[in-house]
Amino acid sequence: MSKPLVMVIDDYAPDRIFARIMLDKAGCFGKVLEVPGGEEALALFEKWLDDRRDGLPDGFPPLIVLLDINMPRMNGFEFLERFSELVPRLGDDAPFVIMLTSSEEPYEQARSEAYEVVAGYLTKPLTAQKAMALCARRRT
Amino acid sequence: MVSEDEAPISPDSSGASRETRFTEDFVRFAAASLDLFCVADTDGYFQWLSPRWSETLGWTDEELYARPFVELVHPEDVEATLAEVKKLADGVPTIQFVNRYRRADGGWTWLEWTTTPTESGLLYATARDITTRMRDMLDKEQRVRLLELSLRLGNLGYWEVDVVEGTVFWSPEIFTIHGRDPATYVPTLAEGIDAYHVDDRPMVQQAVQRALDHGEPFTFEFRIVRPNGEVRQIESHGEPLRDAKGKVTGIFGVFRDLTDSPTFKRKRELEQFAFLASHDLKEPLRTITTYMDLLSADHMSRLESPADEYWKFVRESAGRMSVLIKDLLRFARAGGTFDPEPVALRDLIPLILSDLGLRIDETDATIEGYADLPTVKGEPERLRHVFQNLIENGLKFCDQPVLRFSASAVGTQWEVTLTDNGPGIEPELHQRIFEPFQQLQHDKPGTGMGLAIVDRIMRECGGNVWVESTPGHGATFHLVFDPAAHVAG
Repeated sequence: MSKPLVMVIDDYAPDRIFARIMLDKAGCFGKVLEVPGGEEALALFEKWLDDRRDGLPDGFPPLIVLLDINMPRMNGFEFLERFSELVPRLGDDAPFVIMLTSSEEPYEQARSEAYEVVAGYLTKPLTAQKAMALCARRRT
Repeated sequence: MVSEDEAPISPDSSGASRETRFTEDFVRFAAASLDLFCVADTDGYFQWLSPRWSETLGWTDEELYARPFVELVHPEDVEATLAEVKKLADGVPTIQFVNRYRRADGGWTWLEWTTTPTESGLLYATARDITTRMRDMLDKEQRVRLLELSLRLGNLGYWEVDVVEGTVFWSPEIFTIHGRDPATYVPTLAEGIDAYHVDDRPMVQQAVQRALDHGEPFTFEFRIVRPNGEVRQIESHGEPLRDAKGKVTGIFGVFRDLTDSPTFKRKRELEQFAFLASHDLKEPLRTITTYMDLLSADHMSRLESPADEYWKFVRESAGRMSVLIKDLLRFARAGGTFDPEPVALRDLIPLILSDLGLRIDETDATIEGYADLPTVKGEPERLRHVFQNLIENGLKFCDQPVLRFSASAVGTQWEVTLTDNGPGIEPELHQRIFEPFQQLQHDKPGTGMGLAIVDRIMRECGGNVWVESTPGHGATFHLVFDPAAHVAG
């Protein structure tokens, strides 16, 4: 079985790349799909749901979505709002959403975890250790 | 009533006519009465006065009989008095008419009158001295007016919660503070807490519960969120309401809206600035340090001298900046509200010392006296920061440091001192070291924020900190705390 796909949604390239490097180092994941914003990510999921799968990377949909909160245009919460509507259609293929943010504010964590689809909350940077811990995530 | 057969006999009245005896008896009654008796004519002169008159007003009888009584009446009451006399002349009795009479000592006596006119033109009157009652009433009115004025001037509102009756009273200012219309909104016990900022609710609930359970008064700051989302910073003082038996039946108190006070605005702006600045600085710095660490892990071995040394300088500076930003954030946050609790300093200090283990070993430091420290009112995380900072300072500035703790009770508070054997601090710096960004020695590590944070935390805990030092003879930091007993629960 091929290694699972991970999606990183972050507007800030250095953070995206750093997360990718650490996920690569963890060794348990396949391709890391870097997406610069929530709209682009939603478009990918909608495309897959509409059976227009050309151009989507192998292994889509991802097992894990790492989601930043503080982003221009569509922030993490706005993404979660829209993404939660897609979850029933994704069924068993729905990914774990793990927040990856610089915010250590308890209320932002509480607000994130209020979404059913959110499975974790990590603060940046995604260290090798935090990346390794993600390897335990499996589809049931 | 006195019947003719059993006319009262006064001891020295034998032989006198019944009429005379009766008059003498009446005069005795009048003298014994608490009220003042008189007969006056409609021309405005007293015809007869009971002895109480001269006792009450301090004038002799001659002085009272010599002039029209209206001359003794308070100028503001003359008009009403003359009108009353005119009514009496027309045969209308007076009931509960009040005026003021000048006393010989220059003061005024309030009299309440009941007067019956007779056809012969004489007025039979009793007057009661109600000066004390009037003064109490005026005092009360004045106190109420004064209270209302103070409330208005101080942006204060008054409230009362009766848990037995289940009633809530708000003064108009409390409605304003809540952003509610008194005409349409009815405050209730159940909804009260909903208006409070979600982070402040546990603290408020605990204080209220302690007031209800143990009759403890409280003072704290918290936030009210208006229906439109606007947040108000409120200072709250509350005291238990008790019934006649002393049982607590509710709480009453005042709110002060601090939001628009210049001090609070400045404080909040500074906090917001410090928070935003440090928060925004943290982001790029995190990227710098994470990538530098990635570089050192993967590529360090390829760096040649002196490039590897330059790299270290860069990495060290980034680390230092990271500490500075963290301190700045901590400083901004030290102002935040928290729930005070008892903190046992004798348990807290060993935790800090074990954290600082290596540093203490390196400096060969002696730290003593902490086993006898009291339990004080504070918050463990913040107090840990206070003592860690002071101990680190001691280690930093002393050779072979000897740091000695001691504690003593000062009034109702605890004073904890930490004495070091360092170089001491110049008197002109005793205040300045507690201001942000004040570094005593630039060759020593540190951000110059440490003591500013200590000062801030101490004030937020209801205490304070100062230093006593003679250059060359070490320094003693004094920390004043409220005792833990002030945190009930």
